Amino acid sequence: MVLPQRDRRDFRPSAATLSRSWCWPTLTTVMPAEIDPDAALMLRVKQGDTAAFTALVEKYKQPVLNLAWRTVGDATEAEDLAQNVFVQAWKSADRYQPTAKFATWLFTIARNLCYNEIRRRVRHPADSLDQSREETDDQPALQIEDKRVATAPDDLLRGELENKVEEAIQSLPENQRIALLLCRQGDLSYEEMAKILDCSLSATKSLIHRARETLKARLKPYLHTGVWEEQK
Amino acid sequence: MNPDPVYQKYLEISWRRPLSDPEKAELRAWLINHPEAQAAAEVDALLTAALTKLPDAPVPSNFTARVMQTIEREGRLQSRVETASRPWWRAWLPRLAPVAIVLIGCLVIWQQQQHSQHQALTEAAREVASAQILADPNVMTHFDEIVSLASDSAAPDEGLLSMSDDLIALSK
Repeated sequence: MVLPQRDRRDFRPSAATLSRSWCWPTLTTVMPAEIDPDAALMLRVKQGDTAAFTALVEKYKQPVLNLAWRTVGDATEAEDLAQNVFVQAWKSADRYQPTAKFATWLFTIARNLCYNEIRRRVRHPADSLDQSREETDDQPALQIEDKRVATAPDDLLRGELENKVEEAIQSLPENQRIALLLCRQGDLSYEEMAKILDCSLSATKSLIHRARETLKARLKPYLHTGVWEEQK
Repeated sequence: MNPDPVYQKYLEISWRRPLSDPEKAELRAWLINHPEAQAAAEVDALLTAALTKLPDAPVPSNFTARVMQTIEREGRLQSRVETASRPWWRAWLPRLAPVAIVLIGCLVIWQQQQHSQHQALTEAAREVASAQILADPNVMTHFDEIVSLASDSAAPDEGLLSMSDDLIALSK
C-alpha cells in the first residue's frame, strides 16, 4: 500500500476543521523529544514515516478506543471515532510540536472529537434501546448479546454488574465522564489531564471527584455488598 | 469540611494507579488515626476496583489497516479535489510559461533593433537638415551678372573713374 507523500498540500484541512482552532492543542511547555519516545516517533511521522505512525496507532488504539467507547456508548461508532482520531493526528502531523507528551496531544484530539460526537447526538438524538424499533431491511435491529444462552451464572452476574457501572458512567455529564475515563487510563498525570481537558489542575481534580461521588451514590448497592441487590 | 491533605493525596494517587506498598502503609497508618474516614476510604477503594475491572473495548484486528486505508483514500481524494477545483488556466500555466519567456525575449530584442534603426534614421535626418539650404531657382536668373560683380578679375570702369576725377577737380 503506497501512502501519499507527506506534503503540506495533501492534507489541507477543510474550512470547518480550521474553524475549530481549539482542536489543535497549543501547549507551551517544551519537552525534548528524546524523553518521550512517542514524540520522537511523531516527529518521524512529520517527515512522512508511515511505519512510525503505524507503531503509534498500534500502541494507542486500545486506550483511544476505550475512551471513545465509553464516551459514545456504541462499539461501531466508537471504532469510527477512534479511527478518526488517528486520521486527524496524521493530518495534523505538520502542526505537531513536541511541547508535551505525545499522549497528551493525541488525547486532546480524542477529547475534541468525543465532544463533537456528543453534541452531534444532542442535536440528532439516536434511537433508545428501550423504544420499540420497526425492523427494516436496511436497518436491522440492534444486536444485543444474550448472555443467558451460553454464560455461566457468575459471568451473567458479572456482566450485569459491569452493565450497571457502564450505565452509571454513561449517565455522567460529558466533561466529568471524559475526566474520569482519562484518569482511569492510568498513564496520564493530572497536569496532562488538565491540558487535555483545557482546564486548571484543581478543576480537573474536581471533575474527577464529582464524577466519582456520583458513581458511588448510584452504585451504592453493589459497592457495599459486592453484588447488585436486585439480583438477590 | 476540607479533606485532610495527606488523605487527599493518597486518594488522588489511587484514582490513577494502585498505591505502592509504602503508600499503602502510610495511608493505613493515617486511617488508624482517623477512623471516621475509614468507611469513605473503603467505598472509594471499592469504586476504584469496579472501574479497574471494566473490560477494555474490543479492538478489531484490522483497526490499524483501516486507519491507514482511510488516510490513503483521503489523500487521493484531497488531490483530486484540488486538481478539479483549480482554474483551467492554472493547469496550462506551467506549460506555457517557458514559451511566454521566449516570446517576451524575442519581443525585447526586436524592440531594441527597431529603436537602433530609428536612432540611425534620426541621426541621418538631422545631418541632412543641417546642410546648406538650396537657393530658389529664380535667384539663379542673374547668376552670371552677380558672379561677374563679385569676381576679382573684373576690369575697372574707366569712364566712371574719369568722371569722378573731374568732379574732384571742380570741387577744388
